[in-house]
This record gives sequence, C-alpha cells and structure tokens, in this order.
Amino acid sequence: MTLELTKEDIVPLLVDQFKDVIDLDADQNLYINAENLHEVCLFFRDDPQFQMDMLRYLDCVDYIDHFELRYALLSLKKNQSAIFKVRLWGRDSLEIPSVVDVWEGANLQEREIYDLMGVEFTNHPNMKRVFLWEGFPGHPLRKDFL
Amino acid sequence: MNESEKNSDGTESVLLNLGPQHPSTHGVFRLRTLLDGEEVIDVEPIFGYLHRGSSKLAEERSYTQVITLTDRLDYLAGMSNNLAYITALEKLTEISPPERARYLRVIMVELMRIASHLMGIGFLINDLGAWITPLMHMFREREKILDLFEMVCGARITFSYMRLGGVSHDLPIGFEKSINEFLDDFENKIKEYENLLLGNEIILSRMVGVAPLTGERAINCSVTGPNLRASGVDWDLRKKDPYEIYDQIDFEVPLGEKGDNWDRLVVRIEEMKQSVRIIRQCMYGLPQGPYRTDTDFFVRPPEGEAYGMVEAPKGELGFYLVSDGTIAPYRMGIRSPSFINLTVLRELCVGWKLADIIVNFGTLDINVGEVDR
Amino acid sequence: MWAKWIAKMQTRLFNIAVLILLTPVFLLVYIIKEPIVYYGSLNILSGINFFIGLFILVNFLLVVTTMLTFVERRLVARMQNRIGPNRVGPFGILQGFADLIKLITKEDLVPTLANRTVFSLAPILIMAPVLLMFAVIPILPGFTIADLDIGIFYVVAITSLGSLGVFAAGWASNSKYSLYGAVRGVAQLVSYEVPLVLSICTIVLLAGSLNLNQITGAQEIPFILVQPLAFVIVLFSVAAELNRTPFDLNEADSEIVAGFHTEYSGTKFALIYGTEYLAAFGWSVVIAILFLGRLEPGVGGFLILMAKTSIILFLFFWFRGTWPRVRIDQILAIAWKIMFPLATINIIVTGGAILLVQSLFNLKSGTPLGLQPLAIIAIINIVLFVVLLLVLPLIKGLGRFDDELKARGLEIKGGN
Repeated sequence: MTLELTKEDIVPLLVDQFKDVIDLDADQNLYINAENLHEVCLFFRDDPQFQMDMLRYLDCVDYIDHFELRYALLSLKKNQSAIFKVRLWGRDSLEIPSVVDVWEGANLQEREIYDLMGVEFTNHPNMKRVFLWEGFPGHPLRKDFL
Repeated sequence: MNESEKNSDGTESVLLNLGPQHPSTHGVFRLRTLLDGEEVIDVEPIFGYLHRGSSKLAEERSYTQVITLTDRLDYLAGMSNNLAYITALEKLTEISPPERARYLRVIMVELMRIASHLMGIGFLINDLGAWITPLMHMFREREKILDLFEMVCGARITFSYMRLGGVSHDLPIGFEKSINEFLDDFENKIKEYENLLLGNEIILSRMVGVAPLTGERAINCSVTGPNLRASGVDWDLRKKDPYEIYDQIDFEVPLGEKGDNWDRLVVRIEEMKQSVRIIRQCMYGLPQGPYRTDTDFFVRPPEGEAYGMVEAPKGELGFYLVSDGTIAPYRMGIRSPSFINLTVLRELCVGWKLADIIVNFGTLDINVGEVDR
Repeated sequence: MWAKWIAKMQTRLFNIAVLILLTPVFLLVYIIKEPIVYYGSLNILSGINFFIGLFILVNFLLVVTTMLTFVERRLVARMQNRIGPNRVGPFGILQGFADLIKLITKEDLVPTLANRTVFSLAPILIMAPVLLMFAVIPILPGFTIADLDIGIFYVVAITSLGSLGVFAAGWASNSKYSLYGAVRGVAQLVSYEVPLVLSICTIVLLAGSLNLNQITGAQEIPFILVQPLAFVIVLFSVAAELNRTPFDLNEADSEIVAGFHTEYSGTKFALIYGTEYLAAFGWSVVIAILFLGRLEPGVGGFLILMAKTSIILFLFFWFRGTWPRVRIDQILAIAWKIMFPLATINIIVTGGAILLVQSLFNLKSGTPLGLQPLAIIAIINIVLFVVLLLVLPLIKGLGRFDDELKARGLEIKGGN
C-alpha cells in the first residue's frame, strides 16, 4: 500500500532546515510559505528520505478570504505520498513561484489553475490560459464568478 | 512559435494548423505545428473546445447528482470515472460497500478497461492508415461489451452505475452465461488481432523506435497509466495501492522497455489479456449478499476533504472532494490523466516527421472529454 | 490603384500565356492521331465509325469509373464486417451515380487567394492524360482506337503527365495542406516511374515489341509466371502511381486533410476523384494485358479480359482495406532502395536469359519466343523470385525488427 505521510511524519524531517517556512501551528495540514516553495520542493524531490519524483496533483480551492493550493506528491521508488498546502491571502494579484523546473508535470496543471482560478505562477515558461480564450473576463472557478 | 524564423539553411519554417475539425476522431483539439519541410520543430496543442465546467457544475449539485457529471468526463470509460468519484466520496463519508458490490465494481471496471483499450488501439491503427478495418473489428467486440453493460444497468455510454455504498443494480439472470461466452470468444479475438497487427511490417516500421520516452522523463512529467508502464516504470495503482478487492486477485502488470510507440501499443494489448484474467477470477469468486448499503438520499458528509484515485484505462484518475457539510461539494477537483499526459506530447513529436504527430498523439490515448472536463 | 490594376493584368497575362502554350500540345496530339488512325492497321475504326467507337469507349469508361467507386466501398465494407452501400438501386448498384449527381450539383468553390485559371485547369490536366491512355489499350480485344507501335511506351509517357496536374492542383490552391500533398505526390509519382518502366522493359524484351496487341499475342505462357518479380514490382509501382494505400499519404485523412485536392469541391473534385478510379481501371487492364495471358478477339475475349482486370482490381481494393500507410520518407526509400535494385537485377537476369535462350534455340533477335524458350526463361525467373523475395529475407530474419523485438522479449506470431 502507498504509505501516506502525515504531517507528524514530515515535519521532523523538514524542521531543521526549513524551520521558518513551515507554519507550525496549523492542525492537520502542512502549510508552507509561498516564497520558499521552490526550495522546499527541491528538497522533497532530492532528499533520500522523501524522493518525491512525481507531482501527482496540483489543485486550488477558493476559501473566500484566501486561496489554498494543494500539492500532492508521490514517490514511486519508496511507494509513499505526501501532501502539503500553500495559502495565499487575498483575492487579487495572487502570485506564487512555479515548480515547473522541479517537476515538468506542473506545466499544464499550473496553466489550468491560472485559467480557472486566477493564481499567477512566476517563472512559468508558458503562462497562458489553457481552456478559455485570451481576453475572457474573469476566472470561472472562483466563488464570486456567477 | 514564429513562422518567419529562418532555419540554418535560409529557408523558412511553415506553420501548419491541424485544426479543430479533424478527420481523425480523437475529439475536438487543435495542434499548431511548426515544420521545416517534413520535420517537426515545435508542436503546441490547443484545447478547450470541449470545456463544460464540470468542476463548477458540481458545486451546485448533490453528491449523487454529481455521478452523472462524472460519466461524461472520459465518455469512453464511464465506469472508471464513476468508481473514482465514489472512492473519493466513500473516503469522505467513511461508508464502505458490501463485498458483492466490490466484486461487481471490479468486474465492470475491467470490462470498461477492455472496451477503452479496444477503442484506443483501433483508432490508433486507423490513424496509421488502415482505413477503419481493424477499428470495425474492434467495434464488434466493444458492441458485445456494451450489450453486457446494457443488460446490467440499461445504459451503453453514460452508466452512472456506482453509488455511494455499492452499485445501483444487481446482475440480471443470464449475465454469467453471457459474460463467459464473451470472455471465451474474446481470448481468440485477441490472438487474431495480434496476428494481424503485430507482424505487419508497415506497422512495425512506423512504430518501433519512434518517439521514445524514458522512464525518468515520464515520471517527471507526471505521466501515468499505460504510457508510464510502457516506459519501463512499474507503477500500477491496482498493485501498489490496491483499492476494492485488487489485493486478492492474481494478475500481472505488463511493462514495456523503451517507451516508444510500439511499447505503448503492445502494453495495451497485454493489459486487455490481464483484464480477462481478472474478470474470470471475480466471476468465480462472486459472493452472494446485498449489493448496496442504505444511505441517505441527500448525503451530508462531515466537513473535510478526501482524494480518491483509481487506475483508469488512461492513467491515474483522481477526484479531490472538499465538503463543507452541505448536500453539494464545496470543490470537486479532477485529476485527469489525459490532461496531464499531454505534457509530454511536445517532446514526443519534436524531431520526428509530420506523419508521426498524429500517430504519437494516438498512442498517448487522449480523450478530449477528459482533457477539457 | 494603378499598381493593383497592373498586378491584375500581370496575373491575367500569365494565365493567358499558359493557355497559349498548352493549346498547341493538345492540338498536336489530336492532329497526330488522325493520320495514324487513318493509315493504321484497322480499317473498321476509321471514318465515322471512329467517332462511334470513341463515343462508346468513353461512355463505357466513365460508367465503369462510377461503378468502381461503389464496388470499392462495398468490398472494403465487407472486409470490415459491415455491409456497405445497399440502398440506392437494387443492392446499391446505383450508388456511384448518386454520388456523381451529388458532386455535380454542389457549389463550386474557388478559394479567394487561389490562382483561378490554374485552379480550374488542374483537374483537366489530371483527367486528360488518363483518358488519353485508353487510346492504345485493346479493351475490346482486336480493336484499338489507335494501334500505335509504341503502345506501352505511350501509356507510360502519357500517364506521367498526371504529376504535372497534381502539382498544379496543389500549388494553385494556395493552401499549405495542398502544397504538402502536391510536393509529396510529385516526389512519389516520379520516384515510382523508374521501377515501373524497368519492369515493363523486361516484358517488352520478352515480347519483342512495344505494341500491346503483340505483347498479348506473344504470351504462350502467361508472363506472370515468366516474370513474377516484375509482376510484383509493377503491382506496387502502380499502387504508388495511383496514390493508393499503402502509398496514399497524399490523401491521408488524418494528417493533411486531403492533400492536393483539399480545396476542390463539386465537379472539379468529381473529376479528380474519378480519375483515381479511372486510372486504377486503366492500369489494371494494362497489367492484365501485360501479364495475364492471351486475349481472344470478340466478345468472349472482352469478358475474359474484364475478369482478369477484376482480379487485379480486387488486389488493389484488398490492399486498401487491410494495410496501414507507409510514411513518405519510407515510401521513397522503398522506391529507391528496394524496388530499383530489384528491377535492375530483374532486367539483367532476364536479358541474360533471353540471350542464352536465343543462342540455344538459334532464334533471331526481335522474333517472339516460342513455348519452350519461354518455359526456360520462366524457370530462371521463378528461381530468382523465390530467392530474392522469399529465401533471402528468411535467411536474414524476416524484416529488420526481429532482432530488436526479440531483445525486448516479444515474440511475433504470424507473418507480414
């Protein structure tokens, strides 16, 4: 069975290197600051205890006062998975660094989140809308659209 | 992509638009290709012609009504979509189905896998130029599978068969006989297809060695499903993270070696054979009992979130459900395998010829309904 | 404003110049035919009977073309486990005519930026050579429209004009798909003429004459047994000349929509579409005459010739229903790397065999060979065929993929 690493499993392995980027007092989920996302992802991919070589799923949820991005990672070699989240406060001009150079699979998923939710990813090679046309007013999957 | 870029010998590249209305029946998509003579320099797929906003629509419907939305994602493999959604919902509500329902689910999903692979292979050979002859033969088998589905739940494409806590209908009288007839006949048919297709020199010369994809690159691009297994990576959710009753069934996972078009074709043919094995074991061990547990009409799961995934014929299909305690989901996110498999299309096509673009696209087995959701 | 008017006049002048240059060619062919027919060998088809015979022949050909579209669809459908058209007329026989009427009554679209004159002329350039090909073919055995002594040479030369029409169609459409189709089409047509002509040369060597009537007369043994390698090469070269599967990348539905005839609709498309089937019929008759034995004069011979033609046509339709397409660079590779050497070997061996036989039987060069010399040549050629096409691949392993596929642990069951 795929071992699902919970927050209690991950935090001790992260805390010495990334103490300041983890939001340590959230309850169940592991929250990471947006600015340090890139280093944490590289750590997840390369550290021999994690070896998370696949970005399984990248999703975004619109809680009215903040947006939450959920990164689901998968390690095929060790058959374990991990989840962490990133919170973006506010609703306008949301930016977060892109992880395309860590996992190529984030390419299309980040474009979809930009298209439907309006979160911009910096350093993305092709930050364009993927389903809707250029010039479409708004971002449909937000809670205030329709 | 700029058309007037000069190449090294002074000629200009040609921007060719393999447009939305395409004779090749994969669905409505558009491929902007930049060509230097016959060689492909750049490929940009443009999708969105079939975007129906399933995630947004799901926020207005009750959990049971969303099942009908999930049918229409990958419309050629409706049972797998239903199962993925119900897996996520059962994780959220912590209701588990009875044993008979689990066996029935696996039987239906494996039949669906056979049907989907038949379509995928058939349309691939159609794109190669064999004017729908193998496709028609494979349609004949798919018709038998769809007849079996119609016997069970009354529908041929949009099944909505799975329900929270079980399945919607039990097997009718005469189903066991029909499915055993079908399975016996189908094993002979697979041998026939192998003889016809796998020895043909033309198919060999267009598929062997064309567009290889290494395992590490496939993992980095989040490719899953038969495409990943064709590149040599041993990752099948049915073995690594078993759901339903897959841990009690004996089957193998075929692996390719180089990840070229040939491997992707052969892996799908072998998977069909393994599906036949699984169905036989399930029919043999099918327990008696209820096929559905009682649930509320409007399900109100506790607040929380869950991610449920299955090994769909096209890859790993996952549903991410966030619930806020009401009768409709707060957010339904769909991890669609076809959409994510498209990440790798560009590097499969660049450097090969124009005639290979469609073939490479066909071997990835993309369903546009799933890409666009 | 003046610049635009000058540009318009320039294109018009160019189109007029093209017409002026092409007209003498057509007139020349028409003028040359008259005296040949008049002083030719067959008096029955001279004078007014010439025009009656011509009228009957052209009607017959066009009806055959429409029927062939139906026959192909029906045959390929049966191979695909379906029924095929069976509604229009008894058993669907009139389907071809229904298609023809539909095409003629469709709107005739010319793309805005296309070169109108060349665009309209191109279907004629495609159809005319194929119709002209039938001037020397004895469809009614014993009677040809023009009993030219250079029969088969005339056929090959005239049908190679078709590539000009293909290119004109693709270029004048001003569309990238058409251009791709045209370029590929011309490359393919030109490449496959070489093995075709070389193989036909061996038949001519055996028969001692280029005249189609004399070639059939010289077939004591059907030439398919005497020249099996040439038969196979001619079969595939003609399939490539006709843009048929497995060499039909130019009309590949799934890639470049329809190749050089993408932008055509209506009557122009009917002409191009019909030409493919007309040429298939014509080449099948030529192959039947060249390879499949003697022709008896009269109606019995006509029916037997039609039966032989049907066999060859059935082969072409069977190829279409079963095989996938070969990629364009592979098509050209097959022409130059496989068919051309085979055709050269064939002609060298056949020439040597004829010299050998002529010295053995003390025959003069130029006379047709009798039964026994032909039998000896047949044995030599059949051995060559078996060695080249059956034994050599078995020794080297069937195809070049066996090593790679065995390394991957996959057994290939079944043959090509």
